[in-house]
Amino acid sequence: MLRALWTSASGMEAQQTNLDVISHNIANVNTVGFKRSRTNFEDLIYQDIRDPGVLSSTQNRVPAGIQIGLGVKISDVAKMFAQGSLIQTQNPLDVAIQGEGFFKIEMPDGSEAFTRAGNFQIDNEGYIVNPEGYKLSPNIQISAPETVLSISISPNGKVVVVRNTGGQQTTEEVGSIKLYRFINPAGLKAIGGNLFKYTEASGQPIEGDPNTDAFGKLTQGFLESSNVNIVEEMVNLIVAQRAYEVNSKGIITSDEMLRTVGTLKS
Amino acid sequence: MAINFQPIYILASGSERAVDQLDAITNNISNSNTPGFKKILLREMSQKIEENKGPANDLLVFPRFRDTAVINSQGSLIKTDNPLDIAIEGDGFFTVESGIGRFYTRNGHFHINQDGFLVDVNGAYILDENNQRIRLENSKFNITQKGEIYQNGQIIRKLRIVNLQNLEAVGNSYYTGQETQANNYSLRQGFLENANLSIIKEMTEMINSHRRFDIYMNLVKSLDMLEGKVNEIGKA
Repeated sequence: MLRALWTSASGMEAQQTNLDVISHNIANVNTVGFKRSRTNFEDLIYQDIRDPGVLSSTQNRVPAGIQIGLGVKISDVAKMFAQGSLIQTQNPLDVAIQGEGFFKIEMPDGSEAFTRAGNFQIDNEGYIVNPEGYKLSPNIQISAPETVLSISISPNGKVVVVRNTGGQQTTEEVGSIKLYRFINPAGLKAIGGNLFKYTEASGQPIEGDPNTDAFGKLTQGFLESSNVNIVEEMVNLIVAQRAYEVNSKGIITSDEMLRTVGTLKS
Repeated sequence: MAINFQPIYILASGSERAVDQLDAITNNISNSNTPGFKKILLREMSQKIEENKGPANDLLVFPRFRDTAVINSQGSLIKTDNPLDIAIEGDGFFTVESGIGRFYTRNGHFHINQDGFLVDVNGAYILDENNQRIRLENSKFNITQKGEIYQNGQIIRKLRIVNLQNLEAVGNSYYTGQETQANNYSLRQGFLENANLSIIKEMTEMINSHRRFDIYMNLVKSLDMLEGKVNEIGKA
């Protein structure tokens, strides 16, 4: 049968995945700390075809290599770790990272996960946790929450609480937030819930204090919005849909040609 | 009799070329969003068959393949804002070293692997002008238009950009060919080069290949009917 059928099918399949990725980006346009993805394509292998009639000919017009490509495949879906814009929330436990780095989260099964989403809360034991209730690592516990007047987080990660104990104001440093970065953040594996796990591709996490070396600084009272550009995604959506359509024409054409072959012999 | 049968074979051979043309076009179309993809043009030629003696030799020529040329023209640039996406404007190809040898590509979608080396999506190493792999301290770096990589304010490497002759596509965005010097290029960081094909032209060619196929097939049918009628002569 016609190669063109499968070639066009590979094109449709690739555009379909592209569409999936784009709609995932659009769906997460308001997700805190979300990083957009981009589908990348590669051409498939080429089939070398020799026309035997030409080769056996006594004429000296021997053709160069004839190559017919077999379509397209997805090479990767790469996450773009560009900085998202900051939104002011006034909430003391909302922390945005300006620059490189991830927060480390302790998963309930004891493993580690990493996130850019700094919308933290305090659980019933006074630990700083993410919205799912997983503890920030290294753990920071704020004891006796009823006496706490305010919590402040400095750009370099120090968490300081101001207490009112018996009419007297005291300040206490309860811990510091660490950041983690990766040599190849694009190799991180997203596990949902705004969380990433490190893989062999991303390399081991490198620990550091915020606002030092290559690590970003923390900004209290702000959240990092997603880095999805909705206009760009809409344009990508149009391109993906039209490319899908044009590929389907290749299938229709191949089909009609095959029908013609079928009716050749009456 | 031969003079009647030959055209059917010529038409069949023409139909095969139409199908091959469609194969080449659908491959171009399916790669319309592939960064660094270069359009492939299927060229045909006509050929006389030596065994045909007499006037038939001049009358009957067969449509054959000539070659599939890779059209190495500039594609449009798309902004991606990813510092690891690099587009070439003008001549030239990046040189990569994969497990099975050296290839050339215009697809500048790169990564940094776990050991800190600059690699492409297939994990092949990008080479610098001294044919060495490129190791980066971290993912923050700048690339000048001439391919010099700056990190922490210092030039650390220069990308190897070469021009190619007798281009041949290998797949996975790779090409092979004979190296020549590339002078006329400038690199753009944060961009990717789109495929260099025009979807309008591809669609027109698709219609073209479809219709020429139909015409050949109709002619085959007509010739067949003609032979059928000839067979009826003299019957009751």
